[in-house]
Amino acid sequence: MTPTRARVAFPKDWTFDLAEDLIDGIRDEFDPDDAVGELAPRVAGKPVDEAEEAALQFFTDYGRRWMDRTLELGEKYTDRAYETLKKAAERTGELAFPFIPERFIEIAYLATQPIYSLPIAENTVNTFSYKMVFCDTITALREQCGDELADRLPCRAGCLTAAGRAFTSKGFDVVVSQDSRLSDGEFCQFTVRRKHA
Amino acid sequence: MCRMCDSLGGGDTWYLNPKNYSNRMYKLREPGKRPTEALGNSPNAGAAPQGQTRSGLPEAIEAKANGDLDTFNKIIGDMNQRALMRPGGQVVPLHEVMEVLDMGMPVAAMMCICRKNTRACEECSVSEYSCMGLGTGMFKWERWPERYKGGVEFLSTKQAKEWVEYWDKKGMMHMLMQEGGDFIGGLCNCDYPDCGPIRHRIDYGLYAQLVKSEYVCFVDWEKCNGCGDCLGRCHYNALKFEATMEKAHIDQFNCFGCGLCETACPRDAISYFDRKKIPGLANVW
Repeated sequence: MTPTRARVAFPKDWTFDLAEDLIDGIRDEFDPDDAVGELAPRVAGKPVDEAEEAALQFFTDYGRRWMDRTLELGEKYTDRAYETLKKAAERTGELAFPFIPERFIEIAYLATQPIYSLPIAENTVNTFSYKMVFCDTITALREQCGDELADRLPCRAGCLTAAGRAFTSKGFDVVVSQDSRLSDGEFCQFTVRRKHA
Repeated sequence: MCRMCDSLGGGDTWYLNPKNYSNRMYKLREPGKRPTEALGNSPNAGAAPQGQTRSGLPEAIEAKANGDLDTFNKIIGDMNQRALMRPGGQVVPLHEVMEVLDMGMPVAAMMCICRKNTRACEECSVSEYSCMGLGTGMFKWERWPERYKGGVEFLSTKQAKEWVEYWDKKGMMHMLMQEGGDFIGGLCNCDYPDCGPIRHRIDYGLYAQLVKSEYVCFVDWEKCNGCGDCLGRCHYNALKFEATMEKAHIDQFNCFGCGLCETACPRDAISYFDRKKIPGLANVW
């Protein structure tokens, strides 16, 4: 411990919240309604197994693009909490997992889903887990593609891909799983675990 | 089971459940709500947030000073009832603090707000910081500059463990606190009478703010040689020297299970017993 005390200056222009341009930018490009609108004609009239396969491919690609853009804009629009996190991670040699990828996952969902905060089930040394209770994607799937396809939850591919990408892009070797499905219960839950743990 | 284990433990000890440390980093502002003002930049810096009511403790103290014990008891009773409706803090022995720190959440050493109150001055060096903030909220500590005056120091897991052991050796007991948030956000290493929650409990009977640990300490008289190394470490008047036996003795009803006597004993003569398994103490929190 350093036996000195630093007086802290607090510049007025610090912001601890996410930039509106960041949220709006991602929302404009990855609105769930628009995405499902793009998918709907591709699966229309197809048997459900075929439709599911096509939807899984679609959402895998959507999840990759969604997170890549979030990573790009999230770095561009930084905030004081992120800067403090990066400094703390550098100082301690820890904390980058799970907190740096967590930031981008939170941004991705806050920008595209009808939530004000992402419910975090666990963020500890080897595990990151979160829940989606309210999801516009499955609502859009039901409305535009029907219950049969929606019940198979092909949109999970988007969440699994995006969550994995947030971590791998920051250099973490992880396994992503879905522990709970909104179509079967009250929420989807996704968990990211470090591979070596 | 204490009330926190009942409501937050998921069948186990609440503070060993990682879920209770988990929290988001961000939230979006709901339409119509104004952003939280960074108080350090505001003319209202240091003022109580709008709508926050007083606890009632100053009125209780005044009533007691005036000899009006009925009013004192009524205010304290009301405060306890209110405190029972929400999580508070719990005393935690050193070995379980180590388990908690292994979960790997952000840990930042910071100034003790209770000691600031009792001394009427701030701690002057990071090396005096015995309080620890936990969780993602610490990444926004600069939002509350009055609370974190002097800054915070983020610690690695190893540093945090060393730091807690250091304070344990100094005779500071450990508490995990959830008060004021919806997750466990504080690890206090403190003592009586500096610590607010301990003082409130011991001096004013506010038992719901801080509950006893899951354990009770016992002395094995076969091992105790009466050296007295443990005697000055109890904050709860539970430990005494039995002159007739020349051994240490613990009054289990007063014991908070902090384990400071156990960590001081050079002969391993003090051990922990599960409070829940002792019929006379299972409901004494």
